[in-house]
Amino acid sequence: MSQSLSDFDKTPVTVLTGYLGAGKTTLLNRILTENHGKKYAVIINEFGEIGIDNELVVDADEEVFEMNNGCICCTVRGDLIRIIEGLFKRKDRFDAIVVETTGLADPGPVAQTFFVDDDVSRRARLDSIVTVVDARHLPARLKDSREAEEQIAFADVIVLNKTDLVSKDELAEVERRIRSVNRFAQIHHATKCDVDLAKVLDRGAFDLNRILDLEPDFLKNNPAHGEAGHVHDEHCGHDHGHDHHHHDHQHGHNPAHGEPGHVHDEHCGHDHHHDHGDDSIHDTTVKSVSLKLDTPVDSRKFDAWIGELLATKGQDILRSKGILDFKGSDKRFVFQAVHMIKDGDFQRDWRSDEDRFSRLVFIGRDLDRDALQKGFEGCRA
Amino acid sequence: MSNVKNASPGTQVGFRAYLWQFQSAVVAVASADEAGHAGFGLGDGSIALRPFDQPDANTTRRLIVHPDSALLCLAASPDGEGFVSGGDDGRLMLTTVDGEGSELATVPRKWIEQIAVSEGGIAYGAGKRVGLLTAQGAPVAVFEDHPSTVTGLAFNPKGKRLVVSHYGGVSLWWTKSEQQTAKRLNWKSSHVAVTWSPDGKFVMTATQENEMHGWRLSDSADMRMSGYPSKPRSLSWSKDGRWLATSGAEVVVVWDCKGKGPMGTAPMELSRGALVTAVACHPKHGLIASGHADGQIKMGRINDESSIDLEKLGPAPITSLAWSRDGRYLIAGGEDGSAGILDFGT
Ligand SMILES: [Zn+2]
Ligand SMILES: [Zn+2]
Ligand SMILES: [Zn+2]
Repeated sequence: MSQSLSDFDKTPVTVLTGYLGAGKTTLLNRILTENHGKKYAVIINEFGEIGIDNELVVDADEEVFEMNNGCICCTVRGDLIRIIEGLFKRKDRFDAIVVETTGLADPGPVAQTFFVDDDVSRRARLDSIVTVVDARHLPARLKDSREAEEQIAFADVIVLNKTDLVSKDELAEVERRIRSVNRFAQIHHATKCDVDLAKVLDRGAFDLNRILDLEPDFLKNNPAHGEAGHVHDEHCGHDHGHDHHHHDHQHGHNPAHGEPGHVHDEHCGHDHHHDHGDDSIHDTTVKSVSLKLDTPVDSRKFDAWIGELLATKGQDILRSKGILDFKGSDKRFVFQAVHMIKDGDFQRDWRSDEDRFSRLVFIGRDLDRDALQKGFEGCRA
Repeated sequence: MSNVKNASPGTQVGFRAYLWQFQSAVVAVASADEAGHAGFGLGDGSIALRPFDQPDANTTRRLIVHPDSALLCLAASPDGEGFVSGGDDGRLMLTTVDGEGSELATVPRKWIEQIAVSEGGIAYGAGKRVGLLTAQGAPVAVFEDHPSTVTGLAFNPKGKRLVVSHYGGVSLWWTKSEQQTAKRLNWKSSHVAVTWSPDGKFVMTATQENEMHGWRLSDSADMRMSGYPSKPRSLSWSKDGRWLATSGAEVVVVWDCKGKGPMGTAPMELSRGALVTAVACHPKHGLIASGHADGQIKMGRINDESSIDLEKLGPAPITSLAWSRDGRYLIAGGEDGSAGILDFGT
């Protein structure tokens, strides 16, 4: 679109997840009332239960719509698409958006909405997924609820709240449980959600150019920001050279009407087939897998492999990210996906003083590390 | 400003353009034909008016219809004396060009996002609810039984039936107060706009998956037309009901709906340019006005590959286009508040 904004100019959207009672409302009220110079529009789902004092509060019904012929992971929030579009009819009223989801919500559809819908992604960008958890109740939640696990798996930032209500050992155990699901999120301890808002807002967690900055763990086995032993290094700084991102929805398609090569047919439609796993088992656990290759990767082999992997296993792979050293290119390729929907782009040049490598990170259910490693190895140039 | 634009050799289109800028986005435009006014529904909750016979800057009037709120939808009132509008204040308003306003409905804490108007009545959508009113604005019925938020409304040509689009398909209602169950036409998709063909034979929707879907009402047969890079949300029928013009591609995609319908046929592609964001068929002639993502307004002719650039409203996408009933005036508005009236009279 000719009016496409650079990511920098798009309105940031923070997604706030967590169980009712974990402290989500406290954090939301702090975001709305503290002096950080931004006016927030808030999209909430539990209107009656939340006392919020803000001019622009929109009451949403979580309407999760399947796309792609009813694939259970290719879902968007239909209500969000409408509401965000409606809000932009008066964009002078706000400069950032918070989307609060219920404790029972899967963050996948919210995240995918920002990749799939052009009308949304043209003006708003997903900034980060923030999950508030209660240190005392989390272990029980993880046992009885698939959603609690998914909210941690999807999170970029986890506010581990009510740490004053547990012992030191219990806290260490809760943190270990969180890390076993999601190794890459930043964890901030809090009592009464007293976390520095700068660590929650404006994270750029879905900005391809900042994938590395937020996760030095990615580059070497440096612990994440906020964790014991983290070393701030040259990779923590941001350089913001922006290229245009292109989104790619996994379907090969006839070029669009009016584009060269378009073939009019009865139904230029895409029927894509996935293995629909058994959704009823929620006892399986989510974990993180990180893979690395030190020699260059063949871009075509990689495209074919990751495309097939996400098309067949994307229901279980919640998030993936990567940096690729493609043979024949001096630029780093950065990549991310939510379930089957991926987004990738060439980024800055590799510097002469840095090691070139390829790194992939997956957070998902029933991940077979050896098979993933083998598949990735097969992409070597 | 006065213009004469050359299309293909031998074709000339002359018009006068009146262009200006509002502070807030133009959400929708409409023509109040009896009152002779163009209406611009604005994001700041007001309706701006200009008379067709004197559309200069100093004639603009602003009616604050949805105070401190955003206007979300606008249509000319059935009597052509004013406008019906819905806002994020949950109010449905009827406003004459003289500035007399009446509140037709309120839906607390919901947005009124959809309006359809026919000679026989007014319908609005707010959340899952559809309200039906007489042409004068008296309540007739409320239909709540929809599986999701309502995304589009359209009357059939006689105003006897109403189609409602939503997740999973459309619902057809009779426009009367009696207890009734909707007839459902199902298609697994999120439908985001709906229209009823002027001959009454087809209901067509735009979908979240960048496709058109259609049902032939005689036998409920499905039709599926795809190949759009974007959602084809603006839909407009030619006067004779044969052609359906759609937005959502870098050309106006026009389907031939004679006979059994357009599925399996190749559409016409008119007025190539930036992504088409609004379309409006001329009420008398085989002309289609299109608004594009770069603010350009073009005009194409059915069965003719040539098109002409009319005006560029601003740098932002055109949100809405409407012709006056006599086909003399084209009203246009953009996302950046740019606005215009093009007068094709001589
Ligand atoms: Zn899927
Ligand atoms: Zn650091
Ligand atoms: Zn086609």
